Amino acid sequence: MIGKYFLKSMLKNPNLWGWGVLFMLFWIFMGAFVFTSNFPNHEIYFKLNAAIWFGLIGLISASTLSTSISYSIYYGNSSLAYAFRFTTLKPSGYISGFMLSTGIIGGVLSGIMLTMTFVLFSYTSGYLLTPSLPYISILAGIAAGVFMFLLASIIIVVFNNYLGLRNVSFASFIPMILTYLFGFTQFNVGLPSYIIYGSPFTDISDIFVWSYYGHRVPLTLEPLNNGIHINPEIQMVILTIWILILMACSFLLIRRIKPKSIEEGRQV
Amino acid sequence: MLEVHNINVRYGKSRKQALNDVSISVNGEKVAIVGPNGSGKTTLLKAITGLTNVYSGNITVFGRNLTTIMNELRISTNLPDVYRLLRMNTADTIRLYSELKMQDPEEILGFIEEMDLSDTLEKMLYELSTGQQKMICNLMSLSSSSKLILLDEPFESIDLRRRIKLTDMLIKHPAEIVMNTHEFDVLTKLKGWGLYFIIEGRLFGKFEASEVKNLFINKGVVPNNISVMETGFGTFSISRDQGEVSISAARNFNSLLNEVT
Repeated sequence: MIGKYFLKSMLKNPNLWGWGVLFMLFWIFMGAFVFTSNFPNHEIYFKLNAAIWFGLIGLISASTLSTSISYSIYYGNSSLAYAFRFTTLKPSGYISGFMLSTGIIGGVLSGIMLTMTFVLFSYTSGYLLTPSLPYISILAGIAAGVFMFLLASIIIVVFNNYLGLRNVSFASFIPMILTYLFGFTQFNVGLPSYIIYGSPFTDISDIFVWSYYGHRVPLTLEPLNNGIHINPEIQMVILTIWILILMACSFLLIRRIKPKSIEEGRQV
Repeated sequence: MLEVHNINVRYGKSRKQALNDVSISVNGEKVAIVGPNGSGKTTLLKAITGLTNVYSGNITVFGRNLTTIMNELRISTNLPDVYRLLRMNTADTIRLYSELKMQDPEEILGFIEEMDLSDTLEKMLYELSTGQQKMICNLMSLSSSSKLILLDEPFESIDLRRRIKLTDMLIKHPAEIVMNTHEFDVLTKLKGWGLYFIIEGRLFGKFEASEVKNLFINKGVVPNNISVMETGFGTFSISRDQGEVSISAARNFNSLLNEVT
């Protein structure tokens, strides 16, 4: 029941549309028109390039949810503690409601990014770069939204209950910092395979890439290379395990949320 | 039904004592708690609603220990901290909390209309004036399904017309009420209500709210006193019918203490 109100408030949230959509569309535009040049004139190169941009932007777009979620829990810490005692709200109901609505938002965001990646990259490349598995893209977006909610909720409750609210701004950006760290290092530096498989951030990003590209993504990002390819099925399993672990942690922490004065979070 | 037994609340690194061995029992009645700013009135309500840590003592509500209570719907409060679950406008806040409390939102929306506050419904709570916010929180706590209502300064920043209507609603409401205030003008209208004084986290009473006009406060201990209050700034006693300063003549508790000291 609380999920529908959260969904409504998020869809009316200008920060989500500004940072989660418009700013991401700006980067897709930059990717398509500025950073795509000197490619071999092969459709497969353009498609992998579009898929990598979609993977990275899809992940970052979902991570913008985490900041709003963190602040929602931080400002509502007393309300939550009260609601669990004196209303019908239960920690399980709160978490499932938020998971459902962040999943929907994650799915919507990935749908928008997928469509715009297809339109802009097809336009600049001259090939019709149709996403191969769009339903997987939407499912990955739903999983990304749920994951970001769970991660943000755990971090903010740990700060709220145990580490103090002086660093609440930093805490709210941790999921986004990790997103940039794993997202950019994978495609620019190259990461060992245990991190690529073990990190939920690279899992989400790679599943996005695979869903657009339609083939297993080569570790070297060279489409005609016969070397090692990333296995998306393993990544899906690992991402699911991550979500289940975070769900259990989030449940245990949220039910113990301590009411704190939001003034404690004031920086100066 | 509320039972508070010898609770102590301490704040901050200095462990400042905000409530000092406070005990109060409310069983089928309405009580007003009067005290100066910073005396512990709000802290007491926060302790009862679980919004502040109780250092020692215990609180039971409707026979259940506060520490184990889950999903108890009969309590409501006007403390603004509890209405910040999500960033929503007033109408959605009322609908969400009505759903969570299994109440009919139309009842609260009816109160809002009765108080001429319909123009606040589409605004976010933080966009409202202090008085409007206070009034919305007051009205959300006054559902007929509430059996114990905890009100923190419900008349603060409220205009006279709405103050009169609100007083009337509180008098007629069938629930048990614990109401904090530092204003005396309303007390004389609360016939049958209990009255406590709270100073420096210590609770004194119980008196009858409507007899406040007959109560006097005196510096030191006077003969025939009905209560003695030991405070950090001296000893005071309450007497009936005669004494140094009439309590009802003072505008609020702060001015009363200034006058008597």
